[in-house]
Amino acid sequence: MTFQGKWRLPCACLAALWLSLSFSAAANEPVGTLGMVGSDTMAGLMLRWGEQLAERHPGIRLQLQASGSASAPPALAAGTTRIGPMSRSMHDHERAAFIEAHGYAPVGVEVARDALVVIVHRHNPLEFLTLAQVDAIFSRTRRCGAEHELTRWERLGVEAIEGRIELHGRNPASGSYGLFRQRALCGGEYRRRLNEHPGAAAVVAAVTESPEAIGYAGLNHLTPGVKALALEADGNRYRPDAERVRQDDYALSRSLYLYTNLPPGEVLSGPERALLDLILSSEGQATVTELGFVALSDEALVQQRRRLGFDTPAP
Amino acid sequence: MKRRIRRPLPRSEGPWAWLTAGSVAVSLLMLGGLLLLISVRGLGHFWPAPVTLVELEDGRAIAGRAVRELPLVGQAGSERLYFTGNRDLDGRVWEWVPVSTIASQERPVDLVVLERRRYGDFIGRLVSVGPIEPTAHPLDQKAVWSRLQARLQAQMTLRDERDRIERDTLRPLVQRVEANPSDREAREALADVNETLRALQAAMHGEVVIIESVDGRRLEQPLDEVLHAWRPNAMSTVEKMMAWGQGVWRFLSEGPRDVNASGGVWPAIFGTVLMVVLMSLLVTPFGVLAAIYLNEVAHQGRMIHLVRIAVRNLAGVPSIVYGVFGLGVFVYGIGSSLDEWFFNDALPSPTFGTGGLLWASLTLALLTLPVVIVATEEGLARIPAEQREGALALGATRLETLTRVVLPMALPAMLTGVILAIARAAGEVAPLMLVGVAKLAPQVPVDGEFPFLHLERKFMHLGYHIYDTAFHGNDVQAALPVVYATALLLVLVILLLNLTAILLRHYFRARHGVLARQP
Amino acid sequence: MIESSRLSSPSRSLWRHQRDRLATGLIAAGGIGVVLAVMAIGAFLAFEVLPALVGGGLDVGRLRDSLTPMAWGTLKAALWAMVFAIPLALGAAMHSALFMSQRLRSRMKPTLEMMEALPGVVVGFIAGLVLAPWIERHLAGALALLFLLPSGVLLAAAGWRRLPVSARRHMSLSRAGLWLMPWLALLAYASFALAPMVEERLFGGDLRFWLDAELGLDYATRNALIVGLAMGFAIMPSVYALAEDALSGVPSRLGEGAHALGATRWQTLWRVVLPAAAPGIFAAVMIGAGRAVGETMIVLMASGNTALMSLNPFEGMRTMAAGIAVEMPEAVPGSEEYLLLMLAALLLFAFTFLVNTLAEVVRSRLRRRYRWLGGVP
Repeated sequence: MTFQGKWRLPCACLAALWLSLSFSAAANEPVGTLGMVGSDTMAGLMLRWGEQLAERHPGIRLQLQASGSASAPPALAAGTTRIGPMSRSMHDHERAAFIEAHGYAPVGVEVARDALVVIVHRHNPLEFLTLAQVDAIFSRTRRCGAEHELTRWERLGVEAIEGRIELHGRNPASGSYGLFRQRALCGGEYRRRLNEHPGAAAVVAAVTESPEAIGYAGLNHLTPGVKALALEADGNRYRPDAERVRQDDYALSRSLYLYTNLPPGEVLSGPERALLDLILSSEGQATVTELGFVALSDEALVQQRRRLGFDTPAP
Repeated sequence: MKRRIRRPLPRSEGPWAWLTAGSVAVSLLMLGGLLLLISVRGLGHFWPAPVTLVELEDGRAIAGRAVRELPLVGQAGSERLYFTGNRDLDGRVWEWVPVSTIASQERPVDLVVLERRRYGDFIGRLVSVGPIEPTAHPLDQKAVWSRLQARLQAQMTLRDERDRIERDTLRPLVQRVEANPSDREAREALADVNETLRALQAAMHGEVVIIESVDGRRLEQPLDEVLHAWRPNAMSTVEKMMAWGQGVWRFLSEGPRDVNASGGVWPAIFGTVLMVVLMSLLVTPFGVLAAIYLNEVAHQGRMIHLVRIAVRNLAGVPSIVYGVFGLGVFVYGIGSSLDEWFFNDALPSPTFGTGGLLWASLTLALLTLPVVIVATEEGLARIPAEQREGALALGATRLETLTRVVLPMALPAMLTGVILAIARAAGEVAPLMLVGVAKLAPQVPVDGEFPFLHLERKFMHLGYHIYDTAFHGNDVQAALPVVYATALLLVLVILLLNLTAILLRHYFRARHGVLARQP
Repeated sequence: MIESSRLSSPSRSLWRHQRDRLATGLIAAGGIGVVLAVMAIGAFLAFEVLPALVGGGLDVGRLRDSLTPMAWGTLKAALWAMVFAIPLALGAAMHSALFMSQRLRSRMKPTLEMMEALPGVVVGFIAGLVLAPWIERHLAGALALLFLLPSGVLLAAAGWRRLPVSARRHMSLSRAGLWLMPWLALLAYASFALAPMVEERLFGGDLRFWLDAELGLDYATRNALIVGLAMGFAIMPSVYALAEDALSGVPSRLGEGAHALGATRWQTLWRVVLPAAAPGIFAAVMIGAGRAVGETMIVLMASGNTALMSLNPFEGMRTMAAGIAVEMPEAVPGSEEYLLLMLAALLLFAFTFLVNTLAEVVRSRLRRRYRWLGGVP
C-alpha cells in the first residue's frame, strides 16, 4: 500500500512521458482492434472495408457486430464503440441520449448512398409508378391520396400480365419495412396480403419467379431477373440509377452513415482515422460500387474529408 | 412374433391393400427424390461446368454457363439464364436470353474462368500476363496460359509467406502493443514487420494479367486478386475430377467469401461441431442423472409416473419454445446478471447478455434432455431385475450395484440416447436464431488468446448458414449452389449420426436379448 | 481396495453405507433438479406473460389483431400438413405392419426414421425456393397427381392380377412398396408432361387464371399446399413410427384367429387389428399434429408469411412459431411486442403439451389393454 501510494505519482509521470515518446515515435502506424456495432445492411460493406484496411495497415483488425441500425446509438452513447454504421440517420431521442452522455453531438459521416427499389418481374411491361399508385398497391390505408385500391394488373393498364398483384416485402423487424412504410405508404398500414420475407434477397427471388409479383428491395440486391421501376414524384419520373439516387431525386433514396464519437475541435486518430480515410477515398468508394451501392459524389467526398479534418485530398 | 404366414395368398386383397402399398411407394419416392436433388445439385456445384460462347441474332456475344431454362411469359418458347460473371464490366453476373434469339453456340477451348476475390468470377479470354508486348503478336494462347499458371503459383507462395508472417510475427506483436501501448521495442518491431508485409503486398500488387471479355472489352486484372484459373472447355475428364476434388476440399476447409455466397463453410462446420460437443458434455451427465433418479432411486408411485409422462411430453414441445426460454432465462436473465457482476466495464455492450456459444449449447442441451432421459430409462428398465438382486444379495450397497452392475449394462442405451440427441441438435436451427448463431463470425470461438475457448462469442452453424444464405444474401441465384452443398453436408452429418445410433441400438439390443434370456 | 481393506470391518461397512446414502441423496437431488429445470419452461413462460395479461399490460385489441391471424395460420398449416401426412403415414404403417416380410420391414423402419432426421431447414429451403416456384409453373400437373397416383396404384393392382403366377410371386404385394416406385415415377413424369395440353383444352391455358376467374381463388406462390406438403413430409415419419408400433403391437393371436376363419389380410386388418390399435393410431396422429404446430423453419421459408385468414389452400399464412423466430431477436424485452411473442410461445407450449399428454395417456391405456389381451406390449 505504502509502496503504491509513494510511487504512484512518479510512476504515472514516467508512464505518461514514455507514452508520449512512443506515440511520437510510432504514431504513424495505427494498431488495434476496431470494434463496430450497427447496421446489418452495411455488414458486407464494412467487412470488405475491413479487409482493405488490413491490407493498408496490417496491425488493424476489425470486429463487427451487425445486429441492426438501432443497436449503434446506445453503444456509441455508452462509449463501448467509437464507430457505429447506420443505414439511416439518428433519431432525435438517440442523438439526445448521446449528447447527454458526452456533452456534444455525434458526428455522422455519410459514406454511401442506397435506395429501396420497387421491382417487378423482368417480363412485366410496366415502366413506372407514381407514389400514389405504389401506396394504392401496397397499403390498405391509401394515405398518399389514391382513390382506389389497386389489386389487379389490368387496373394498371398492364395487359400482358393477368391476375391479381402479388405483394412481396420485408418483415417488420427490418429497417426497409419501416422506411418503405414511411416514404411510400405515407406512414399507412401494409395490406394483409403482403408476403413478408425474412430477407431482401428472398423478395428478389420471389419476384424473379412469378410474373404477377411486385416487391421492394435494396439497390444492392437487384439482379437481371427483376426490373426496377421508375418512380414518379411531382410530375418527374426518375429511375433508380446512380445519379438520381446520389441527388436524392429517386423518392426512396437514403444515405448510409458511419457515426463517430468525435469531440468538437479534435481530429480522429489511430485506427478510426485510418478507416475513414480509406472509406472516403476513391478506393473505398470503388468498394461501394462493387457491392452494388451508390458511391458519393466527388464534392460530397471532399466535403466529408474536410469536415473530419483530413488535410490530404481524396487520392 | 409375426410368423411367416404370409405366403402370397391366392385370394385378392382388394384395392385398399394396394393403396397402402402405394403410400409406401410415394413416401420412398419423395425421400429419394429429395436426397437425389440435394446430392446432384450439391455435388454438381464443384464440377467445372463447360462455358458456352453464345452469339445472338443481334450480333452480341456472351460467354457463360447455362444455369436454367424457363418458359417465356405469355408467349411460346423459352428463355435461358446464363451465368456470365464479369460484374466489373457489366454491373451484373446474369443474362436472360430468349432461346429463339440464339444464332450459334460453341465451346471454344481458349475461354478461361478466373475466380477472383473482388467482383466474383471472370469469364473471357487471356490476352497476356503482364503488360502487353507489341512484338509478341499474334498471341500464343498456350504460352500465355502456362505463364499465368506459373505466376499464380508464385502468387500463392507470396500469399502463404504473408499469412505466415502475419500469424507468427505480427499478431503477437499487436497483442503486445495493445496490452502495453508504451512498449517501444514492440512498436518498432511492429513497424518493421509492417514494412516487410507492405513490401510483400507491393510485390503481389505489381503484377497484372490482361483479360478480355468475349465482346472485346479489355481489363487489367491485378494478379493478387485472382484465386484460381481454369479452362473448363479444355479440361479432360480426369482433370475435371481432380478439380472437383479440390473444389470439395476448399469448400470444407475455407471460410466464406462474398457475404457467404461463395467460398467454404469451415467456420460453420467448426461452430456446429463445437456447439454439439459442448451440448453433449452438458446433456449427458444431467440426462443420465435424471434417468437414474427416475428409474432407480425414486419411489415408483403415481407422482413419478406423472413426472415421467411430463418429461416424455417435453420432447414434443416445439424447439422454438425452448429458444424463447433460452433467450428469456439464459440470455436476458442469467447473462445480464453475469454482465453486471463481472463485465461491468464493458456495459452496455453485452458480453454474456447476448446470444452466444454457451447459451446456445445450454438451450439445445435442455431441448435434448428428454431424449437422453427417455433412452437411458429404457436401457435401465431393460436390465433384468435379477442382476440388481444378485448384486445386492452379494452384499453390495445400492451405489455399488449402480456403478458396478447397472450402469455398465445401461451404457449402450445412454450412448444411443446421446447420439440421438446430437443428431437432433445438429439439425435444429430455430432456437439458435434466438440464442446466438451469427450470419458471419470469421473468428472461430477457439483461438490462441486466453481463455482459448470463448463461450460468449457468437458462432456460425451449418443449418443457419443454409437459411441465411438462401434468404439474407445478396443474390439467391448465385448463392444456391452453396446452399445445396451446405444442405448436403448437413444431411450427411445427421444421417451418419443417426445411422450410428441405429446400428448401436441394433447391436446392443441383440446382446441384451442374450443377457435377458440367461437367468 | 488396498486402502479400504486397512479399515476395520465395521467402520468400513459404515463408511460404505454412509457413502451410499450420500450418493443416493445426491442423485435424488440432482434428478429432481434436472426434472424441475426441464419443467421450468412452462412456469417461465406463464410467469412472463400472465401478469401482463391479467394486469392489463397488453392491449386486447392489438392482441386480437396480431395473434388471431397467427393462431389461424398455425392451425391451417397443421391441418394441411395432416392432410398430406395421415394417408401416407397410416398407409405405410398398415402396409409395413401387416403385408411386408419381416426382413423388408426391418429395412423399411430405419429408412423412414432417417427421413425423420432430415433437418427442417433443408426441407424448408427445398420447399420454399425450389418446389414453390416449380409447382406454380406446373400447378395442373401437381394437382392431377393427387388423383393420378392413387388410380395408378389401382391400375397396377388390376394389371397384376393378369400376370402369370410366377411373375406374381416375384412381384408380390408384400414388396409392392418397392416395385410400384418406378411405375409411379413414370406416372408423375407423364402427368407433368401432359398437363399443359390438358390445361390448354379445359382451363383456357393456365389453371391459375381459371381458378381466379371462375372460382375466385387467389394463387400465391408460397401457399398452404406447399407448406402442407413439406411439413407433411417432415412429420410423416414420426406418425408412421408410432402407428406402426401400435399396429404391430396388437397381439398376433388376434390376427391369426381371423386368418384361420378365412379372412383376407386386409379384412383382418380392417376388422380386427385396426379397432384394437385405434387408440394408438389416434395418439400417433395427435403427436404428429403437435409437431406440425411447432415446426418453425419449414413454415418460415415456405409460407410467405402473410397475415391472411382464409381456408384457401392456395394462399399463404403466418404461424406463431415462424413469427417468434423472425421477430423475437429484435423485440426489446418487456415491450408489448415481446410480451405478445411470449404469449404466442406460451400458447404453443400449452397446446403441444396438452396434445402430447392426451396421446401419452391414450398410449399407456392401450399398452395395458394389449397386456390384458395377452400379447407382448
